[in-house]
Amino acid sequence: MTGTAAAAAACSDTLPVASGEVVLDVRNLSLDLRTGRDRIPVVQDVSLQVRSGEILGVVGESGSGKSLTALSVMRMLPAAASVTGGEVRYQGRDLLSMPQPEVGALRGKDIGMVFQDPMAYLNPLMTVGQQIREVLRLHGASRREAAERAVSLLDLVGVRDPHRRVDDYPHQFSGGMRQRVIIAMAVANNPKLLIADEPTTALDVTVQAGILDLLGRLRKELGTALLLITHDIGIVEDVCDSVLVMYAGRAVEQGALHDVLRDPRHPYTRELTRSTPRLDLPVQRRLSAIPGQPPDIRHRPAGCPFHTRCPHAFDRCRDEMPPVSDRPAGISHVAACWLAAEPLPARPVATAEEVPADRGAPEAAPILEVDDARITYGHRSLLRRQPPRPVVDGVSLRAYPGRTLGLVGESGCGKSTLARTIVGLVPLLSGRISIDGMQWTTTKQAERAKLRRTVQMVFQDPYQSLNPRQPIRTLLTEPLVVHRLVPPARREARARELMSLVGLPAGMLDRYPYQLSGGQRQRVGIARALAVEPRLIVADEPVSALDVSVQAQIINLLADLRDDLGLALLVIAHDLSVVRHLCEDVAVMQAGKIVEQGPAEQIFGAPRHEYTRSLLAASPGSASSLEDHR
Amino acid sequence: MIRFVLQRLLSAVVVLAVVSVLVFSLLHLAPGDPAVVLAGADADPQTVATIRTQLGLDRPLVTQYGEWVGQLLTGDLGRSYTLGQPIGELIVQRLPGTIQLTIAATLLMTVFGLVTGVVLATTRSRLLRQGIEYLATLALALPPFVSGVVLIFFFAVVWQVLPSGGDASLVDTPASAIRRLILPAIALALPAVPVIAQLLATEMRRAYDQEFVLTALAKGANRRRITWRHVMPNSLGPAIIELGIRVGHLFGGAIVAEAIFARAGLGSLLVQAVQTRDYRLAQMLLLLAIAAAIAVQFVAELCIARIDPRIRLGGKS
Amino acid sequence: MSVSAQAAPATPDGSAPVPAARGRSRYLRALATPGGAVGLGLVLVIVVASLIGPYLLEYGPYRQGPDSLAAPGGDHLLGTDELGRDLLARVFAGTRLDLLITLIAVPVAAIAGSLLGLVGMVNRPVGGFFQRVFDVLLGVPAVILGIAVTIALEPGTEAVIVAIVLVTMPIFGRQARSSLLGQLPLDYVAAAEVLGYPRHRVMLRHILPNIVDVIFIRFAVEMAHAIMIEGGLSVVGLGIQAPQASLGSMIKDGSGYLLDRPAYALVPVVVVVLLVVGYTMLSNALNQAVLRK
Repeated sequence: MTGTAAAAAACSDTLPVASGEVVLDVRNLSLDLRTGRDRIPVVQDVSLQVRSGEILGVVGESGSGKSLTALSVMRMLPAAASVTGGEVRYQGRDLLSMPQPEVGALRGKDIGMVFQDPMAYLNPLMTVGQQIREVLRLHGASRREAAERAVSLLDLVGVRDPHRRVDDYPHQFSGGMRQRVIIAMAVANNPKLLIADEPTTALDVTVQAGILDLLGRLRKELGTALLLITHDIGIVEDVCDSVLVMYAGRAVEQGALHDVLRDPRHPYTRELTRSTPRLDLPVQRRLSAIPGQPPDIRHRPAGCPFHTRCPHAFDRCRDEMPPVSDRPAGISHVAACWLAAEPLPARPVATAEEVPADRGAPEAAPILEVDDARITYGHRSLLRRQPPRPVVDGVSLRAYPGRTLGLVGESGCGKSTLARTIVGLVPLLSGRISIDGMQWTTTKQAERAKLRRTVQMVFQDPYQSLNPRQPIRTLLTEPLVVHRLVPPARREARARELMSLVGLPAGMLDRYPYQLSGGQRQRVGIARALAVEPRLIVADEPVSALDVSVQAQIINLLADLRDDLGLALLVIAHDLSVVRHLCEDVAVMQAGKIVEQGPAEQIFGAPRHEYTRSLLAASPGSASSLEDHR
Repeated sequence: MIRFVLQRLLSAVVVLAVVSVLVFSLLHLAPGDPAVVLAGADADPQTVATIRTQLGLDRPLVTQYGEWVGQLLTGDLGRSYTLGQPIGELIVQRLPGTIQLTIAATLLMTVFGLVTGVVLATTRSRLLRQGIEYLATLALALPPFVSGVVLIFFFAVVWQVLPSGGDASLVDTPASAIRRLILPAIALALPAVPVIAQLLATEMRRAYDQEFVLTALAKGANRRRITWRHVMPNSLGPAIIELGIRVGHLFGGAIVAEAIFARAGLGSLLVQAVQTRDYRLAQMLLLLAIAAAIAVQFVAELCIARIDPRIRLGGKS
Repeated sequence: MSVSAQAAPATPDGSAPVPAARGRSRYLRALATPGGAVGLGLVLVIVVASLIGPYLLEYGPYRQGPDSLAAPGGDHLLGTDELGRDLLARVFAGTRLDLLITLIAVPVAAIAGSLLGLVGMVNRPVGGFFQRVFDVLLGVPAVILGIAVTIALEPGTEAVIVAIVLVTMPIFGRQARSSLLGQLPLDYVAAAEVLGYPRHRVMLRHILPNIVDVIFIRFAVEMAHAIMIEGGLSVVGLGIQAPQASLGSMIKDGSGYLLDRPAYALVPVVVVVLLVVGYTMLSNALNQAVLRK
């Protein structure tokens, strides 16, 4: 048994929760950030405890302050941030007022840290062995000891052929392997506390499962306390013993995992779990999305920071920040809400109609036909003996109007390249791609122009996909101008129509992209794609760059547009739960080939191919047949 | 690594070849008949014709170029028209002066540039940083023809501690030779020092912000170790490339320095050649200077490859 | 059936507030900083002085007189040169000539270089060819390139302008290309292509405005650089020729008289330094304000 299921098993049956001594004790920690001339509070009054042998998950979105909290434990805050209050104690010792040399002695020895992006966190000019030996020698190991231990550490974290690999450079390892190297450095001196800040965010799902498994195993074998920072509730559910939910710099709820998930006492926690699509529950018609977006750190609302988005907010929430209160019954499950004393009022999810398992067969003719497509990057050069290997190697697909086809796979499988070829950005090497009967290889100018209006793309990164120098109005009217779709007099009206289609107020037409939030920008990107009235929209990871609480809004938007306008959607995603929610048909891609294709309920319910099965097993949130979270 | 070296070598050779064609054709780019230009405006047709046949200017360009390259490759650099001597001899005569100057300037540039860069990046004193940055802006405005004159004015005319120029043999009178080197070397190195220093400082600051520094910090390394073991090696790259470019440009700067400080060297020879229309000599010197500049940049790139394993070893293993 | 009811609120809702207008005001803000103001001030003062100065003087720059190397005073505020010509008038004339040369050469180099650097977007092989040419030109030291030009064209104003253009054009070309390469992989460029915008539209309306700032900043730097190229060429005698005066040629001639008439060489030195420092401070201020956002 591999994957997060194993990690979950390792957690739940061997060690009781909250058993060991308290290794890390943070009380009322407050942090400020200096930007320009102002000091802004970024973390306010946060408390947490981690015991040995326990994994505490800190979950939050952008602006929640979770990373800064973690860095402050190691006194590694960036120069612009400073502690303005509270205490941080490691095994009873005051970390914040400790003299610098003592802190240096603790770092790497008693407390280890694992970061997010393994390539950037390793020195590219030093071998992996040198870097592991460094942490050992800094804390007293002799040269020989360090050399031997470095090799055995690589073995411990699962690097094959450690004797040879110890002399390789970071760029010679894959992403997952690099993260294992970082973990090796972090646990080299058997620390009592390990802090992991988004350790798997930059990694593929199957690789992620391996890393989480490793962390769980280390926790079990070494008894380390682990503080795990993440934005992904699924990971928390699978791996952690207790959880702290942060929002806008505040601790809004914490407690044992089961308690918090079964009986959330803060509306944010409940809404967050509700708005995340899941692999283990029936698919709903619409996700229950949280309106709005997480506040910018400069403009946090007074009182409870969540009140502007909270379905249960009342007057007091606007005026006063609720204190963290104890539940009358139950062990240390607390929430910062005026309503925390009682279970939250029931809020029937208005749109919770379940979707029938069998979503039916396509009714119309396919709008997109891909037959045996082969795509390759780069050209032959004089120095290459054979042509480069195809990135997409014989793929066939069909997409239908009014239906969504999901294309899933891990990084490097070719799904993005295929998407870019379908919209005409990358040429086909061989095979056929036909959209509404037309092909990109056509030489007729008029046909090409029509093709451009038939298929459009929504990009992953809302920050990059809009020209920063154009106001929203120009972004939306330019396609109308270039394709001469609408006479000049009608353009403004059409721009307003597009804005309302995606749920944005017309007043935003005058703004520039930098003035909009990520979710708003993504809506603009969708509106722009709709401007030419396409019949097929290819969405390349449309929500993965957005905050979790905003993702549901965009997912709902895409589904609504599909149903109202009869669009065909091709959604590329690595997040299986999003795909399961949105798509009727799914294709699974690996190394340039489609390994399995079919209706969603079959792929997710009864996967046939081994790769599909391993993807599902590795996805957070799918192992919960072992747990009951309702 | 071998592949990288060969690639760069090939590139350098190609550039040199192209440049040689351009240098060769300079004479023919000038308006007018090259033979007339060489003979002088008021020479009689007889002289012009003699010159034309003597120098082979009546043959097709490609043949002339081919001959020229052929001679070059066999070591025959030609003969100076106005001075009568073989060009090779002239070069050897004048070489030492220029070489001494170049080496002295390179040393100053490297040492002061790198040291100032490190200081700029690591000092916590805001005063020191501001001060260095103001001096840097000033130094950038002091190209050799400006700083040379100023240096001569103060050190040779007003305070009279150093000679205002001239030559001396390093072998026979080392002290005098070195004294005459000081001012020109400073003048040449001066504008390069702030550029190199700022480049290094910028790269170091960027390296400090890199994530692997956080990892080192998390391991318990102190500031000193982080600076020397982690930040420095990762920041030297662009500074070395810039050094390479600057040293390459010294071959041009030396020309100016030799004019101002009245030194006899390859630079003054080149100027003299152009002024006396001794084009064969001028072309050869130009080619030599450019070849030297290209060679230096090639060496700089090799150094970078040596330091950075990503280049040295190529992609994934 | 209604489309998504999750309308984002119209009022500031956590997205960034509306700051002061962007675009041109960033340039103005740059000029408001001490560095920018001083820089611009230096350049303007020198330009204006060289233009109106001559009207305040008794003698012109070419009028030879009986008093060779006269001391400052009387009719000649700075004294005279070896041919009895008024030094101050010659300094003004030299400054004007330098400014004229740089104001012709640098914009030509900037426009030609940038456009050639961007050609790669519309036609890759041609763009690549020009980059190779630029690489070769950049490998040659400026003085050497200048001297090469004087072999083809006689030493003089023309040759100096051509030399400056040849040295400066590749710098703009390479910069334009690297800015282009920085923008091309960004999604908004891909989006423009998917939306069917023609290539030239994308280059001119989308990419160019996003890289134009760097070009302006580089422009200030190269104005300073151009003065130094003229100076270097004139000082070895292959630049501006007698009887014309340029800052470089005056430094060259004056350096022989440092003992008797230091002002001869040192005043042009000061003008060069002030001009270059002014341009440099201006470009630093622009860099800070415009690129930092």
